[in-house]
Amino acid sequence: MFLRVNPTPTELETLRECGRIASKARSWAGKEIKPGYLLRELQEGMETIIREAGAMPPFPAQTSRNSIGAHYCSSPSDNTRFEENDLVKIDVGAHIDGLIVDSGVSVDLSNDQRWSTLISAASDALDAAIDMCAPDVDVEDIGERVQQVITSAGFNPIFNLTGHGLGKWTLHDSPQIPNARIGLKGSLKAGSIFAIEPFATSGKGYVEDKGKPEVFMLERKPKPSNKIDLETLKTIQSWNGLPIARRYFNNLPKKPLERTLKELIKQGALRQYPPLVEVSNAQIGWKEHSIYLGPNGTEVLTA
Amino acid sequence: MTNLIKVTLSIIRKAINSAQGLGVEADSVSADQPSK
Repeated sequence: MFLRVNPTPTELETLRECGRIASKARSWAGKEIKPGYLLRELQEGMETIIREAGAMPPFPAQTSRNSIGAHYCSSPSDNTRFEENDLVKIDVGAHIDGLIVDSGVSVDLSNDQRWSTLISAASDALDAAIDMCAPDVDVEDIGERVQQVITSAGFNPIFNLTGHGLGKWTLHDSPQIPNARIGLKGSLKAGSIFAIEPFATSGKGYVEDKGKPEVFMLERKPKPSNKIDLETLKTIQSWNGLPIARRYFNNLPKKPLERTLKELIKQGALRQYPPLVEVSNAQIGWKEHSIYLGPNGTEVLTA
Repeated sequence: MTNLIKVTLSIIRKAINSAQGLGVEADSVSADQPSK
């Protein structure tokens, strides 16, 4: 079921506030990040900023390096540090009462700015896509424009990743907004909220699940089972179906948590989001903004 | 946080090269569901 938002004036103000909060967290991370910094600390630092500002993370903050396009979230004990020459994708959002914004930026940790053209290709594609946004615009026309900008810069888009609608308590709502003309059907609706996120790569332009998932989402009510710890389940359910991270639950006993996660996955109630890695191990640049298609035109909520 | 379309690269290439595309209804299929 889709819960597409056509926001009331109060909801729109809330979304704008979420946009300001997500931008603040993203900007902080962009300034704080440097070689040697723990990935986990940067992710948790962004989430602290979001909470202290009165919002909540609609998904775990993520920092994906190099050929990992998205969905790298630290485990509770992750001691991975950023390295010199990393190309880092910082992905962060905010929500208040289920009203969600989603945003992201790429950061070049090289001394010679070697990733600048890749980052610019994604950023220019996002600007071009935003310029096109209007009621009833076909999502495929946006995808085609994104692809044109990225290929003219000498790169490929990631063909199997898309932007998405943002519904109330629904991070991945319709429509899917592609990064190339790949045959999706759909259009932008007046009054809707959505995220556009072009990915540019020097590789083939295709990502696959690779590595241990640390992000999960409860998709349906599980069947009763003695393998499910009720306190753990109650905590997971308190996130109202938004994506969560294992590291959110450091305060819960580890064995019941792991047993519960395993059973929920086995039942198909819990969706897993492993890191997404480019198949040719190529570098990826990316940028994302959330947009409100209002009566006065396009409003970038996460600018 | 991006959305993954669960189709193979060869299918996407075929879609790009054909007028018909993937035939996925972006307005009627949950973005989190497999798209074929």
